[in-house]
Amino acid sequence: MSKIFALYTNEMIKISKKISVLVIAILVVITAFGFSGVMKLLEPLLLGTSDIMSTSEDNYEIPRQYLADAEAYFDEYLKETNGEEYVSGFRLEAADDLLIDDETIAALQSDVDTKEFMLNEVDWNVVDVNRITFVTYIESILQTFYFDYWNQYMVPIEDRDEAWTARQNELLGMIDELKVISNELDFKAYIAFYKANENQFVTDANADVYFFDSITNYGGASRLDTWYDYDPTGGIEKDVVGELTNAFSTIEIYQTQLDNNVLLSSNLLEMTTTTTPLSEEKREEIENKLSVLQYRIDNHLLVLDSESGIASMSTALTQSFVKTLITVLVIIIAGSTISSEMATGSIKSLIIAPVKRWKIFTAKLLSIITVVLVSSIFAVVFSMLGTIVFFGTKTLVPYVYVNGSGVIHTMPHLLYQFLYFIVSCVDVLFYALMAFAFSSVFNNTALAVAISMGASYMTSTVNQLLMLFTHQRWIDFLPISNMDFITPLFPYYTMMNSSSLGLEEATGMLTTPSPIFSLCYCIVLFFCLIYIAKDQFCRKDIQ
Amino acid sequence: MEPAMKVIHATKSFGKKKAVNDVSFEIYPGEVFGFLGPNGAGKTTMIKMIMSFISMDSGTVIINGFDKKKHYEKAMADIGGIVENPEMYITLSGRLNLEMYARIHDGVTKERIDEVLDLVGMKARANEKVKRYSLGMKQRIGLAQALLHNPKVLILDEPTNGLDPAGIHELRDILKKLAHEEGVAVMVSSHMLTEMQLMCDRVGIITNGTLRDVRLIDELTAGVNGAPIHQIKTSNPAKAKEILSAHYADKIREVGEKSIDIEVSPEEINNCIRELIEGGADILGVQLKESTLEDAFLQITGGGLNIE
Repeated sequence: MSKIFALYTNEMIKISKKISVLVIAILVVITAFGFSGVMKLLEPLLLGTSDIMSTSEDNYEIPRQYLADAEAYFDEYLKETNGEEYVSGFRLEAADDLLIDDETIAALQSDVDTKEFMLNEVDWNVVDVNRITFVTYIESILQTFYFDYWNQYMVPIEDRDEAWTARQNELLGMIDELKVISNELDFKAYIAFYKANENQFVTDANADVYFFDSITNYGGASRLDTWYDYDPTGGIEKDVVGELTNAFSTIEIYQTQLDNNVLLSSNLLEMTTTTTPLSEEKREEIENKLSVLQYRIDNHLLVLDSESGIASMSTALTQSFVKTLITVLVIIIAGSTISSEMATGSIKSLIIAPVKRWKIFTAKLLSIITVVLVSSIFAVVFSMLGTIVFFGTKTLVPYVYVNGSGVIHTMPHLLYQFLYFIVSCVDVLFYALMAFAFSSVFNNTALAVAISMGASYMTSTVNQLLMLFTHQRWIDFLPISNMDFITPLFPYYTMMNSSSLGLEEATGMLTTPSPIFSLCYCIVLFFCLIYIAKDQFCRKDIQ
Repeated sequence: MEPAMKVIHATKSFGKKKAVNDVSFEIYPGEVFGFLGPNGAGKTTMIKMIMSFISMDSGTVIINGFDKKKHYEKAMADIGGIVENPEMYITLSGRLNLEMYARIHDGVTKERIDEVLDLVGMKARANEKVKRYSLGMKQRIGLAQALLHNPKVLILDEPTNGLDPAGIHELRDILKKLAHEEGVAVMVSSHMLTEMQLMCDRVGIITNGTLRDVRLIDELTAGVNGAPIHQIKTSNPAKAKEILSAHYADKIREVGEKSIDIEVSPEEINNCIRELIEGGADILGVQLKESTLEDAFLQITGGGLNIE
């Protein structure tokens, strides 16, 4: 053991004297401070002309009051105009006193015009892109019908009469018909369907009804947003409304899923939302997320105003830059640790020493792991310092999480960010080991560095390509699918910044394998790489 | 006496070519052993096997009583050396290189580092980076490194490469002192015969991967009858031959244009010279003929210094 430690000390001395270490360390510091500084300078540009809230308390209370006012208004309105006869937003008469401006009507009108143009003028059988648009369009109409169908459930059970049932059946019938048309890409059938049910579609005649429907039935969050658009007099910052709206609507999405016992997921490729029954596991997950988000709203732990938004953006970008830098560094060091010593012949003084080769190898491996760890710590500390120096501690809201027994805990922000960054560097370790193994196998520094660097830059491209194979489970066996330990370890990280809130479930996206699988996979991969490197190193003839 | 190092049936093939074929020899404490052979004979391959740079196909090496195959670390602890060029971490100073090397050996003190730096005459420039050193200086630091842990066996592959004549002389003295005074077993490989003659006590001759012969250097430089060959320079070799033929007819080896070679012991040469002077031959000089090792080499290997 003492021999390994002595060898390890020597390795660290050699690495510390490398010019690349010094250069990258300087670059990391420059990036950390420079980038935060540039973001600070750009802040006035990015913020535009909007005002910044003076106190964070107002950021929460004014929108809340706002929302309450809006809801009261619409509840009153609904009662007045519909009374007992309320059946569907689609059948409501236009509300005369509704705040609607010419611009909105024009926008809706142009939307309708576009759709009619597409229906009448485009040859759907010829152009593939148009066929896709056609399907997308039908899907959106389908969604309207779905919404309508759901809206029927707003009618109290005791009020559901024959008319209600008839409307439900009518909607279901139309949905089925549209599905068939959509599946068969039958444009002619669609025209016929359109003509037969013209009154069901949004036209300029009922545009305001459609608009009204959107405010009354889409829930409080969107009401808040919409309400702001028409009455921007409350002295509230637009960005704050946007951020808070996000939080509120996310709460609603969670609540809707729990209430209806369904899992909503969006298919990003097909631009649709699908529903599946909610599993027990998912229910618990959503409940936890709901309570975390509610806790953040109640304790004012959302990053709301735009200045803070820029600070978080700055932190995120800085960290991704410094991570790239340290990836380059560790690949260079790991890729040269064996092959450059072979090339210069300095390996001879190691081989001649009274230590077995596997000890030399172990010392080198340990030194690389140390470099990965130390450089990630260095990078995250300086990137945090950069943010604090230029943006203060305003954005440093704690990380809120739910433990196994359902109790809410908080973790100090700096600790969270530190751990988050270190965990996100798992792939850096992987690239380092890859470079190390290549260096040992091929004895060629340039090749080892190039391949590993290429692999690290290919990742995002490959990730997008893999989206085409989301339903094929062999992708679970690719390294790239198993390097994310952030999601299992920090399941509530998306809630650190309200702009990343929303519907997270997505079927069209790359779904990662289970954390246990990933962990086992990484361990196996780790030992495979080490074994290859060790085997080659120990058997190598030194010329 | 127990040998400091014993090589037993060492064999190594590269592809179909046998680079070292069943080589066995021993080196004893206190001697300088020369490993002599033409380029490509397998000298460096043999040394690399001893140093564990390359694996052995079969056979083993026993160093200071420890079999390398069974007690690797104990065996390697008593070995030091330079293979081909001395390679160090060129961005670090000479001293740091030694300190790093010392760390992986047991019981090397700071004083010992100064001591070896003194020995090789590099103390003044030890704190400079190795990349600023000349080849000769690198050789010196390399030697310091090889000696750092007081190895019982010191192995140097072509040690005089890159050294100036003064440096070669100095190295020779250091090696002889190490062997004869401190009892280190020194093994030196070279293809330069004259150098071997000046440095070594015993010489092993290797060609085409096979160890042809191991002899004491005195035995080797001795001619057929075991006496050294003296070259007497004279303006009239024919006359000298005539005079010497009286008593030493069977000892005349060669008659050149201006010299005559005669194989006699140092006691007899006195006699020869007296006879020549009395006989009226002029003597321009007398010297030991240096090419004798070469002759012996050619005689043993049965050919020239060809690479096969």
